[in-house]
Amino acid sequence: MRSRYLVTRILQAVLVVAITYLLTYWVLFALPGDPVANRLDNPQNPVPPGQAKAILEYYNLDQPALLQFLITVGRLLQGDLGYSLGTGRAVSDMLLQGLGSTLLLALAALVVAAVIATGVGLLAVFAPWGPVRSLARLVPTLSLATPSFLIGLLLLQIFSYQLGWVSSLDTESLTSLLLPALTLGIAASPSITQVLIQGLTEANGRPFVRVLRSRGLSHRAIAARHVVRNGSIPALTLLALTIADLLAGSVIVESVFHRAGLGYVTEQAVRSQDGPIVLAVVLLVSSLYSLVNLATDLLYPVIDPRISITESRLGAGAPASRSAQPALTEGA
Amino acid sequence: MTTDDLTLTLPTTPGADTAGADTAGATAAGATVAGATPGVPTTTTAPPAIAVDALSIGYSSGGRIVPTVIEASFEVPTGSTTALVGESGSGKTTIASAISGLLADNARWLTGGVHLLGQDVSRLGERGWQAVRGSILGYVPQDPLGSLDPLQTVGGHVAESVRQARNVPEREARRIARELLETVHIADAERKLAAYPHELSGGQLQRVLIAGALAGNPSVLIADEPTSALDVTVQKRVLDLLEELREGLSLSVLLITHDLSLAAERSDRVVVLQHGRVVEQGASTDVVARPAAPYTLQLFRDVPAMTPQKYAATQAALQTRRETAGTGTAVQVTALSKSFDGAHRVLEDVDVTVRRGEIHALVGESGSGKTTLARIIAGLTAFGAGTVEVSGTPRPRTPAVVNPDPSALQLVYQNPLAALDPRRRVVDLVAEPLRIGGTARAEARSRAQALLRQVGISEEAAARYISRLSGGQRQRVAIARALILSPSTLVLDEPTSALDVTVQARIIDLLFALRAEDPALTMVFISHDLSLVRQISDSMTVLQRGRVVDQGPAAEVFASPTSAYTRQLIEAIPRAPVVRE
Amino acid sequence: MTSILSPATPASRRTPPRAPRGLASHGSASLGIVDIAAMLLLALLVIAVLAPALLAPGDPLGTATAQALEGPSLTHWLGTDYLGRDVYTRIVHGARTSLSASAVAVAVGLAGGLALGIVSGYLGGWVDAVVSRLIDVLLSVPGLLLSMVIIVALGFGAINAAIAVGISSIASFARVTRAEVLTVRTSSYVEAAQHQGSSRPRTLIHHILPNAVGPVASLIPLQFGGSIVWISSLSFLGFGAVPPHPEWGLLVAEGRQYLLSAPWLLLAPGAVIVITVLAASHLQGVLGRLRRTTA
Repeated sequence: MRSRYLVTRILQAVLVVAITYLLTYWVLFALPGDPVANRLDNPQNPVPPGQAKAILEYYNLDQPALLQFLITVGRLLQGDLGYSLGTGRAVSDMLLQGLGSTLLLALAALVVAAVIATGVGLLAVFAPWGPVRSLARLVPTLSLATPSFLIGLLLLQIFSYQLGWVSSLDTESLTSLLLPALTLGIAASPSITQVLIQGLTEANGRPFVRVLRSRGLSHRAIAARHVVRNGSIPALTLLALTIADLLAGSVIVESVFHRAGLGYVTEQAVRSQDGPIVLAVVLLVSSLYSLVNLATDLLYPVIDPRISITESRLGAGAPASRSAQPALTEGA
Repeated sequence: MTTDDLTLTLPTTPGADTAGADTAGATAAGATVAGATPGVPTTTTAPPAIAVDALSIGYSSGGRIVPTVIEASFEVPTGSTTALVGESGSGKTTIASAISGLLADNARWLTGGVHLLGQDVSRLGERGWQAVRGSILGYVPQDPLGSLDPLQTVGGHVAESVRQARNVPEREARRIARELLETVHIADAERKLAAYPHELSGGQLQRVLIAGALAGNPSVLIADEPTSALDVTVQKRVLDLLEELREGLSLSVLLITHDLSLAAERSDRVVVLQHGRVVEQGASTDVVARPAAPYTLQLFRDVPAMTPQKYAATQAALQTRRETAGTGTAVQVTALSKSFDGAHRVLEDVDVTVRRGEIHALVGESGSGKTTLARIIAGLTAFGAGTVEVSGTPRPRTPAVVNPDPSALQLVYQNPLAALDPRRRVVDLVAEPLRIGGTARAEARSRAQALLRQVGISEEAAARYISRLSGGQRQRVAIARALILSPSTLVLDEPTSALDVTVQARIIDLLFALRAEDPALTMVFISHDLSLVRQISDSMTVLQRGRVVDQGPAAEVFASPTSAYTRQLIEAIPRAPVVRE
Repeated sequence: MTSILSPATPASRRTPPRAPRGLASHGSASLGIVDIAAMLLLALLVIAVLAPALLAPGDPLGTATAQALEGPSLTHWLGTDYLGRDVYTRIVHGARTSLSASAVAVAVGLAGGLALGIVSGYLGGWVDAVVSRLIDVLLSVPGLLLSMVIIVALGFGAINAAIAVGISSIASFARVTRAEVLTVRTSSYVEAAQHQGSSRPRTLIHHILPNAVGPVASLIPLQFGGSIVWISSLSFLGFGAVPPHPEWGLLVAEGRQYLLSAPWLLLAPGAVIVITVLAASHLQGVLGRLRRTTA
């Protein structure tokens, strides 16, 4: 039973990634305004004739669309992501070059987001003083309303230009990671914070809290041993899924801080309508998202003894707790 | 009025040993009080376990304070079980919360005091309460499943309570936890320690919670509706356990309940609350024999267990009319079987015959299949084998999504709030069946209005949304909606189980008024409440795990049940004395 | 066990009635001062969209290089930019592009989301399975990336950015709609209506949609605020509105060169974005309170 669930769930994840790839390919290449043709026909930035012929041959533009797609998929399965239309370099090389620095940035931002969400969430629910709770509840709303580029520019203004603590030109050292990670982390935190506040508030109002109080346990002990454990599961799931958002959000942050990572590569690709790179980035991010999603689903029964994997859940997709994700997680 | 039925477990005056222990504890406490406030003479007589003195509590809402408890005074004598009885909104839970220091944030302690074993606890801070709770005061909650952390094993819960109260190391706490589980008669305690709440039944969970409440060897136990979420037979066993523990551990128990018959059977003293005021208190036997307050008397008359013969005359008259008119069969169920997922059998080989004009009760506990059977009769659920005929028309095995003949049979749901569209006004809800049938809007509304008046819903209430009505009004609306097409059969799925007894009595009165008007109206009445079934039904079917274990005229089944299960159910009816009009 | 009653515990002297909670405890439907301020601001923004000249009679494109990069003053409330254009005028005129683009985005997202959500929640079965996978697909690509993919296909520009953001928000609208429709469809009152003989189309129109659409509609203000942030981000990257036309995200992008010398260029449009989104999300709370008190 368990292994069948596992297989079904894995197939489902693979299917989602495959459809994502198919749809993205269709949007990028099959719609009128084919970027390859556009790129070759661009009179302002002519492609050298030799390179043009190579591109033409590589993308089989003389073949029917379906065959082109099949050839592309065939190459993908052999690990060939194609070549950039702008630079002619292999897409895999370009992605690999930026991926390291961006993953580091995203992980640092994930830590920032987790710290903010935890701090604000705990204050908003458990602070003994009413006004503090109310203020903490305003924090996610405020950071939700602030675009990440604005957060980045303000941090730059304050810490680089006014205080001079961090150089705005340095993009290599570890300290240079500080402001970008803060920016990205702050931008990603509000939905996680909101879900955590919701979860903790809900858990704090459950009847078992009253019973534990009747046993003589202090508010602090009940919060630490019971409420946090019960109330943080949806927020943890969301935190894990945020990693994909962070990769996408790196486009803006790397632009603000002039970092040359995956985000920068993506930004340039969009600017020059470089289809193969955009397609590869979508494939990468969507795979990561589906992988994390799969992992959290499979980890649920470990965290929550009530969820056992049974046949009846096969068609049901993700556990119910997943629905706590708010609508506005994508905003930059 | 007979008090002979009250033979069961009348309070034995606390024996010498228990009284001694209680006095010792109380004097120790009394000495501390004296130390805290010099000048107050040390009490020499044993103080009551709980003394509530002129207590008033309100809830602040939108800047105003709404009083919920007004000048309530009563005592729980040491070693006794005292029942605090009241309907919803009477303030009984607020009082329980005040006594255990668990008032909600928006509750305001207005006046009065509470003494636990002679100690004033009304001015305790959170820290002071922490030392009282668990060690002096044990608390047993209402909803067993929600009252345990779902991520913690039940052993973990009890051990945590033990550690909190006794400050012992983990291993010792677990050993005590196992002993406590054995004390509350949980079979296979060692293995159950590692179980999670969702793996245990409601009765077992309530036992675990009682074990947790006992973790600190408290001398006072507050049980807040400890059995209202449980099946009747389980309810009886849990109450037996509480009684056994009270005697064995010389506890003083405050039992909060809405069920007067249960209070009369299980307690030494009753305190009756109405709208936040104590309207009556005294020894159970005295209150039952000579209720002083009109409200108490009304309450007694509305409790089915205490007035089993209330409708006997009407029933007999209706039966005579049926016999002279000749009766047909309203519902015929033959060899019905139903299973979910192929494996789990919900109903097996069920035969039921309901004659026209009868009230036929389908009785059973949760999991008995009674609701599934009702839904199959109503044409809402598919079935596997057998036949179901309503007024001679066979039901298809897989029912149509849209009911082709709504005027043949109508269903009244258990929870009217869920079964009525929240976004339509009451009059439109009742008019809807007519509108679907093609009646013009104005005509449908005026007929709905007339029927609503007949079931006791004013025109003003009919213009509101269902959420704005009281529980009793909602069920009246649901009944009106079920009746507007003049169906020949009504299926009522526990229509009163969520209502207070006085409200329930009015709804049942209404049903009898409707029968008097239309003697051919057949009712299939689903219930778990045997005392209500005894009061109202002509015939009945008892279901246990999907099988019929008893069937026939209600009087016969109650007089000579053939199955052990039915006997058990009947025994679980609180043995309260019968009240006559 | 008895130490709790020792007189030394100061907490035990506290009077039982607790002080009112203040800030958080107003749950009634009456409008507070913040509610009114938020609605006033939104009203001003509507004027800025419909008739910007009423609020800022000047020319948003009129350059005056002699007055370049002037700080805030009585003549130029929010200063001037590097071409001497009045920042206040440009912000007011930028409202039209920014807000109408957000409106388009919400309309696209809402229309697509409602259609998918209703179809999948009501029909169930394989339709639901297909739509649910489609929602999964849309969710598996972060919104910003998805909107950039669509921009690559459609080309740059404010309207294209709006459509891209709208398509990217279809998934969240669809998910909420589907959940609501599913809840209502399986509710007792829908079963009861059908037991009364209400046909499927009648049940859909009279019972399911009225009850399911409310919670989805209450998402609109929040999603509108989100779209403002999102569209301004695309403009900031240069994928949205095209200069010299004013748009809020573009104004911030133009201002970033002058972060040191003329911070108002960045702060003024930035603050306007933040305040607008806050007002929109506050409106959401107000609507939610009203819905709770009327339903």
